[in-house]
Amino acid sequence: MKTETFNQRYLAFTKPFVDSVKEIYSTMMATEIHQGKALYKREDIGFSHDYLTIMGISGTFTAQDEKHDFRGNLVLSWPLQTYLNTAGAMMQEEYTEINDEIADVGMEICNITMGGAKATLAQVGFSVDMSIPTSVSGNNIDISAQASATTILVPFSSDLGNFNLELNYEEPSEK
Amino acid sequence: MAIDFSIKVIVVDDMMTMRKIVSKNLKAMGFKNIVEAEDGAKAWSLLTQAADDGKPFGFIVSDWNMPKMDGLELLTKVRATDNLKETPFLMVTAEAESSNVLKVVKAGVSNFIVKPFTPDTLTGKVQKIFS
Repeated sequence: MKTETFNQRYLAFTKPFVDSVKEIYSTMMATEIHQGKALYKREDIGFSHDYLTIMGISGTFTAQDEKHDFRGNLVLSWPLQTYLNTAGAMMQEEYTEINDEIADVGMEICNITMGGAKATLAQVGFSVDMSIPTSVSGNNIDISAQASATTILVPFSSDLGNFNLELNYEEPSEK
Repeated sequence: MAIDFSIKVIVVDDMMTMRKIVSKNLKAMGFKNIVEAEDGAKAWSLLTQAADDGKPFGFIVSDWNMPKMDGLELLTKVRATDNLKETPFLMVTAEAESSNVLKVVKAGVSNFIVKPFTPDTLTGKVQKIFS
């Protein structure tokens, strides 16, 4: 019963982020993105991208007058060309490399994703504190799934290329 | 009332991406004199200096969540300062919760815009402020 409750909660937690990313691409890049099949990320699901942005999330979930603490991370990752295409669509320019002007495009998308999700999450019982995102760029960066957290990976495809959203979620009291 | 596009505009955001997007849209509207600042503290310094020099900014577009000094603190300081308090102030925020909207309205914001937004939405907010 505990697991079932957790999964329902996790689904309610994930959907606002997916909806928020879709809205950003639609509004700011005039691009429709398509959600692929979401996967629970395990060590053996290998994927790697070139540009990655991470935001820490913490807060409380309230249901039936019971409060649960939770923490997690929102991760968005793009292959280099998808990142350049995304930045180009957002800035209405063409880019062939990551420069100062577009270095924080990923972080801004992460910020807006969290901001958009936050309002919906509040309606389903999650009170969320956002942190400032950080980004990493390189070749084929991967993040290992955390053993103590539930991590879901949502792949997206679009005319700008493919990219991933990852969410990990952990309730310390349920361990 | 027609917008005076010769006024000085300051665009404040810690993310260069968003500063460029806002500046580009304001330029497309016709604003010619746009200055960018990376946080509220830098913006406050530029605003007070310009006012003291007798060449004040005529419009502030600021993000809310920023390091050093956030948009709400900047707005509060602007509204509490005699030679700045009438400056139109557009707040840009990623957070649409009603409690936040109330906070900036109480602090005297001229209008606010929630990210993500289209160029048309930004243009409409600016026109409304100056109408």
